[in-house]
Amino acid sequence: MSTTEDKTRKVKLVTSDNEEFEVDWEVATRSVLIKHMLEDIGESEEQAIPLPNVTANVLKKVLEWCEHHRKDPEPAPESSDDNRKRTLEIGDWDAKFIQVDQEMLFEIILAANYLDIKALLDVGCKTVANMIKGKQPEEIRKMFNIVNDFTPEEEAQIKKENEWAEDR
Amino acid sequence: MTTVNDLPNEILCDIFSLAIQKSRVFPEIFKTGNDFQDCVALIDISCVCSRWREVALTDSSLWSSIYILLDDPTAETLVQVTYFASICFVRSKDLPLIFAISISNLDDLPFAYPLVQTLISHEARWSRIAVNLTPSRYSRSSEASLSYKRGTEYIPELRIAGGELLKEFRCNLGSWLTYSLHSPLPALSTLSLTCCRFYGSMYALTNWLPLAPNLQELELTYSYNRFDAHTAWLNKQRVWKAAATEATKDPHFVLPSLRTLNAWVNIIVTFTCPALERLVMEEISWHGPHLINYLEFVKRSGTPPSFRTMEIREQDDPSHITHARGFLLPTITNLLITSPGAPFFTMFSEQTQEDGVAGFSVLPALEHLEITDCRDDYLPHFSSLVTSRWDIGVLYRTLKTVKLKQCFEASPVPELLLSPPSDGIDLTQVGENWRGIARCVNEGLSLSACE
Repeated sequence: MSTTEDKTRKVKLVTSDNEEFEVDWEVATRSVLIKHMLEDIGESEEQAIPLPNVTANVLKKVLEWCEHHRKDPEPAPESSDDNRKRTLEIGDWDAKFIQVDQEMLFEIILAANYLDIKALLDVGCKTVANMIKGKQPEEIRKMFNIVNDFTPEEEAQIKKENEWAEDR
Repeated sequence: MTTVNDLPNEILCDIFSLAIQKSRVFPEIFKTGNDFQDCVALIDISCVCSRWREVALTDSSLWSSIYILLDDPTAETLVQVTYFASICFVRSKDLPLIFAISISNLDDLPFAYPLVQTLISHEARWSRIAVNLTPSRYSRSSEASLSYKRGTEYIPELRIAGGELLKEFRCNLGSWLTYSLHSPLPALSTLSLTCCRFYGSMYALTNWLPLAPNLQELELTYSYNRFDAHTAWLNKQRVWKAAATEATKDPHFVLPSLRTLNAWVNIIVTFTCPALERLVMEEISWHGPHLINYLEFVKRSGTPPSFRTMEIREQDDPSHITHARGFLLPTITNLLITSPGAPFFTMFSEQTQEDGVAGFSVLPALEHLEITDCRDDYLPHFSSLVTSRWDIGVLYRTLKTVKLKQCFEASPVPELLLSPPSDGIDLTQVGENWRGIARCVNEGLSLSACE
């Protein structure tokens, strides 16, 4: 539980390229990683939190998301059934937020994963899933610049497995 | 440059899982409209590159929910599907299986034998299973018509049926299955079987129900196509004889947790369902003997009856309307009816006056009425029914909501009635045939409609 004092507190974050960001405690603690680090260092306001896996341009984007979602309730703990009920729907603001180039998209996903921001990670994964959905393997390769590295034997095996689904 | 290949395996898995997310929701395969695009999506994902393939193959949960819907497949396609299913079963490792297969316009039942055999060979892991096989109208090849005569008939036998894992089982060829079940099925909440003979149904019930004390939904419907005929022929000389003997001993099934029941009215007399909420009549003949069975069922299940919702899907002869009244218990508050005729509208509109209290002789406590597939020429009857139920006065009024599904094609519900303005509907803007109902909507009736 956050206190009133927490909400007025400022947090310093230092990126891998040594840029410092000062943000509200409520915004920074959308990240479970930062929240735990703050709990570890206690009341020391001067101590900056190092984020060696995030660059400034990515953190700026992540903080934009955290700022918009600062009042969101804490995510509920996952249950085994949750996975089955997930949809690919993304809220309007998030959909606009995530309209970035592929490099930034994957950077945001990696940052959300590292910083442990489940809701942001979810937005990123859903975006990539939506990009994949309904596309043929060749289209996916082209979209993500992936090399087809199957051997001819593997290709033959894959073709055999999936013959029934061809032309559908 | 950061690319998709920089994502760790667990994130890729999550993305793959989302990309095939429909298959995580058990499809309603007995309704039309589904496809198997998610299955194809999984295949496509696993064909992109060796890393994606490795990631996809390592996550067994991606392969444990499979549904395949085919229309008019060839025998060769079914061989390939069987091969694919067996690969999925291997890749899903030891996870509980969710498997739904619907094949329509199948030329010959033996074409599906290998697939069903493969499915049953993994029955220990069944969690939610649905099998729907419907024949094409005619066998197109002489090869197909010969296959029954080769002595290679296959009769599926369930020995475990998932045991403690099984939550849902649906099969439209209930007459085909045989059983040697012994383990309890404590998680089984939904059982849906379509059978073609009374003894076939009794055989199925005596094998499933004693093992499923927590069953919440039971559907036992009737069908008689050429697959039903053939499978019934295979089994009637074998296992059904015993069921015939059992049936003469007045079998009885107590279903303490059952919430929804949809069964032939000549079978419901064998059930006691003290917690029932919804009774569905898939096909009803309003005949005296059926009414006797029904009332016996009601009496056994407890007074007053626990169910408040009745759904009537198909009825044969509306001339036995007197008996229909007996089915429509005064405690029912929700009625869902398909293709009601004029006698029904008249019956539901009949008013009574007892000790100065106004009411209705049939379904006096009706709160929610849902009508499916109503012809245009019954619109005046419908209007009369709703307005009479509404105009009885606030003190005695019970009707709250009316829902129409695929009704009145030529005179559909005016949009104004479905989304009334906050200051009320201007009745002069509504055609005469809907004006009475518009007035009720203005006074608080909730009306909705869908295609």
